[in-house]
Amino acid sequence: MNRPKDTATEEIENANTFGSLPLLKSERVWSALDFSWVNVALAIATWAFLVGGATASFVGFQQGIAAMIIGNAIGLCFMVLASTVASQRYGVEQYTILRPVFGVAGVAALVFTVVLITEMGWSSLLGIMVGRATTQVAGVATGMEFDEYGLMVTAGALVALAIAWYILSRGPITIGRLNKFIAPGLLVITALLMVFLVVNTSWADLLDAGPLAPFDDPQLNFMIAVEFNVAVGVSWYPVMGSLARMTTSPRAAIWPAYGGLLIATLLAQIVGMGAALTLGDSDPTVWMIPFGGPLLGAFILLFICFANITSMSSIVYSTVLALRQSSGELLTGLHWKWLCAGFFVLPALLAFFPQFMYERFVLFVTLSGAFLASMCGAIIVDYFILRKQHIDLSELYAPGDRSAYHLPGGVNWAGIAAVLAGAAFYLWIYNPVTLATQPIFNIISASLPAAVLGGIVYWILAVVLYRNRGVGGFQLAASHKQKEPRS
Amino acid sequence: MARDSAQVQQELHRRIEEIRTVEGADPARRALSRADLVMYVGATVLISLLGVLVMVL
Repeated sequence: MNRPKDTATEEIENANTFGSLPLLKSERVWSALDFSWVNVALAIATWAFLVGGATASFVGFQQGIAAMIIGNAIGLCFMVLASTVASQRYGVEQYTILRPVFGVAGVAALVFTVVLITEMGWSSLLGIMVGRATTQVAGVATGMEFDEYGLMVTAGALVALAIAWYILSRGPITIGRLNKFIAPGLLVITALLMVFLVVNTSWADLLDAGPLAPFDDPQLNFMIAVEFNVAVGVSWYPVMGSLARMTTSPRAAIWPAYGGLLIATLLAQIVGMGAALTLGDSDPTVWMIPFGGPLLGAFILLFICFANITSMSSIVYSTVLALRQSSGELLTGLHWKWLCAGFFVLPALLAFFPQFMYERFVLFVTLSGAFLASMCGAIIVDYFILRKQHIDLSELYAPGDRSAYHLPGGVNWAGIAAVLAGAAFYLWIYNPVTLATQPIFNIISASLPAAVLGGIVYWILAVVLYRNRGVGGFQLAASHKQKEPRS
Repeated sequence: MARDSAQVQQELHRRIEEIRTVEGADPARRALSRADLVMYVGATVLISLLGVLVMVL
């Protein structure tokens, strides 16, 4: 007799799990402290060691710390504003709340290109890192030398991707449980590595150590390091909003997101950079054993493998959720575990090219940053300036042309043009492939101007194409402005 | 939204209504104030200056 009621409850719970419903107060349970820990756990993951090591390729210790502070501060600043504020206020999943900025089809286009490629790239890198780590451990255990980009690395990466898929297919609760062990573990490892760094290296050695693979122009090296770190800060965009909607207030969203990510990232990156400069290799899987000794080094590497797998599960969970939400009817019928399996196909193929992925790491992060920064610019202008921080939830969730936010073809061309213009401007200021730069790059890097231009293009086009013609729901902001209280 | 069942649609409308009415004045649903925004951007500028200081010293 209870069967129909149970099914309905289950459907609602599923819809809530997959982000289809806005969260109510009772479901938003993260205080500022809780959210800070979530961000610390995310930021202190192994990719921070990798980023620290990669920064050491361009600059020495002192300049590296400066580049990390400046880059992350700028990148996180506009990433947090663009991703967390609206999702927190309305408790809405971040790709749903993007509909007014890019249109339903526009959001799908961005999710299936920019977001998907970014997250597939990170997943592939983390998988390859596991492969490299297991190869190092196997080398220590057997006393043999293995090819650093050989088949064993690919095999390790494929196993890591398969385990990540298994964890992911069991849902967010399993991921949450694993992260409760991983985050403190990584904190301990970072502290341990910091101790090793202090014990094994003198301050003078660190300051004297030259960058690992710099270009001829020191100013260019520093700005590439800054830009790389801006891109790293911005690359948190795809996962932040959906996490921030769980917080209890606007302040509990922005400050922990900004401060938690910044402090934890800097700590882990500085350790990674220091170790890389001391041991002459940017890859943590290479320097971990010489740094920690065979036993402890191997143990840390195995822990890093485990941590990478759960990190992968976390970012892929958010991305698959975004794919499902933005695909309309296309992917909703597909079972969750097969949808997750589909995501891992490209990372699995990329695992066959570990050298290509590792050596293009900086390029990949910088290029994805070009598009994400421009997206952030458009989103900030839309939400803070044009819509005055007001979104009408009934209209947001209304289907098709019954929504005030609906635009012809489901695309907000102002948003798409802003992303393309911002990214093109970025590549003109700094082309990470050819390393051709404009003079402005040496002063304010490329992401910030790309975000600003993206915002300006969006502002102009949205006003001319839509607001002045009374479409796109911009008029809703004006009518609600006077009713809203401010914190 | 056509993909969602009637129950989910009903729940969606219930939640939107609750957010609009019961939770409307809740501090958690307030817009970010201008003071918060200024402080936030100001903090970014200060941290960036700290980075410049690290480089200079």
